[in-house]
Amino acid sequence: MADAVRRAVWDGSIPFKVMLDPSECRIFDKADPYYFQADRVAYLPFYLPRIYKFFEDFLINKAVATVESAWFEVDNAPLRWHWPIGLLYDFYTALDPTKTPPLPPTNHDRLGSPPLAADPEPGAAPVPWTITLRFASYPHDLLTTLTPTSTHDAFINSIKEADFARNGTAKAVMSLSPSDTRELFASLQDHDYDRFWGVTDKLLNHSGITVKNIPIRVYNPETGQVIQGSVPTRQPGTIRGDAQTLGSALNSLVPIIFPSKRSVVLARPVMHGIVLPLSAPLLELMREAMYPDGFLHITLAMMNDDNDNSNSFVRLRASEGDVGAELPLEALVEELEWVML
Amino acid sequence: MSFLPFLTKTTFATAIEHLTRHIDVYSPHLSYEIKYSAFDKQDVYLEITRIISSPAEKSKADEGDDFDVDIEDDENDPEALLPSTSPPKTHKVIYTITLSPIYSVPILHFTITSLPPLPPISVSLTDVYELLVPASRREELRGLGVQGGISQGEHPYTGRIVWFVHPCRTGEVLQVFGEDLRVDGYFGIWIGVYGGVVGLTL
Repeated sequence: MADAVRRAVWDGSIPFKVMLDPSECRIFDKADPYYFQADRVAYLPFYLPRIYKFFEDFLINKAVATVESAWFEVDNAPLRWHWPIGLLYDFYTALDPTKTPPLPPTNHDRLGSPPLAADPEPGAAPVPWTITLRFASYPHDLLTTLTPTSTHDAFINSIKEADFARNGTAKAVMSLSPSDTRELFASLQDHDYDRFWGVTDKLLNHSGITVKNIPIRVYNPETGQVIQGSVPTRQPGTIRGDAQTLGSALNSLVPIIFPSKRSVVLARPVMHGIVLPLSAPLLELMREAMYPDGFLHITLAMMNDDNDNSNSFVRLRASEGDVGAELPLEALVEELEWVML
Repeated sequence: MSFLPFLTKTTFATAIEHLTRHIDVYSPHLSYEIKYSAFDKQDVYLEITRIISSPAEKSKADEGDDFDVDIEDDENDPEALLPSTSPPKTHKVIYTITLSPIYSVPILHFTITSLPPLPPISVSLTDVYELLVPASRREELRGLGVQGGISQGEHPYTGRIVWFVHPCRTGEVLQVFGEDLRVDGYFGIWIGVYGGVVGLTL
């Protein structure tokens, strides 16, 4: 199947457990949690109306705790409305897909017996992901104000930025018909793969334009640093104009963390819940596995706890002579399907 | 993209230097600070602060209430020395000028905070237009994009939520200036185009 990677990315989802902040709850004991499955490529505001409806009757004061004042928090960090859900998860859990996820408790139905959830390894995927719904003290300095148009606006801005990165102009986006432009966001809201890619393929294959650069954002969950860049499709300075791989791109964007183009030394690049191979050709990776907003949003799984410096050095030296075989992108599908929950 | 109107980190830093020299001499009403990325000291951006009066206060002052003496004693604010008709200051605007690594042109971000005795509530998009955008430019700016030419987003260096003016057509707009656009006068022209719409003038 030609679009197997795109399909697998589109179908990726994360189980959520939403708790109502106790200070908002009129029942002493606390409200029931709300469970839902969220698409990785979607945004949290898409799910807010149904979450709000579920908790509405538990709220102390509905006049104050309105949908407009709602926000989500995990470990004291407000969850950004304008980041795709998959990125939120990979970033805030500092996800390292090589770590074993804890086994879900199996005896939670029996009264009196505490669940047997083991302490999760740092970086292991928490399932479900527990987040808190809050209303008081909206963190305006960290969260955009949620309005009926704000998520759409942020999404289209990102689409334009990605388009500009690819082509050096935002003409492909500007030349979309108004109905196509609306369709980009509406299809994402409806989670309609065919409609979304029907329009997005027009952007990626705009007539008379060859993609020059690939828009990437790299997120370091340990420092909070976000590095963004527009990476040429061919490696500058190579005699034959070698195609850019993920490894060469990361090496040029964040050389301190990716001193080698071929092997991971200090961090593993993670996207859509899997470790990406450094040998993945970047242009193909963008075409098949970009987020709907046009970016490759890559988080870093730092390796500082599983190897010391001398090890890193050995790894780096070993990598220099390593002629890594190109991994076909299709190999990602199997992994993506494996992590789909 | 190392040709104007597009900037590299180096040409951006040079252009910023020219801008600060210009402000030192000609724009004492603006205070500024050169800032650096927490992760890369070569990576500079400029922060400019302005204290403003809301249009409501301005129109009150225009009505000419002679007894409304401005008792604010701010030595750094030359406007505080103006006659008593100058309206009380209501908001602090912090602008930053950063280089976008994607667009390779500057982006103007800003935050607006209310000053006491106003309550410290956050400003809405409507307030932004009211407080900063000249009446003559509002219509034009509102017509752009999904919700107009001003959006909310994350500041590239602080991660805080800020407002910004859409940069996606900056390249095209500045190209019109052709040979007249040089690194030393880059920000003179750029602020003329992008600053004026949100109240930043040299």
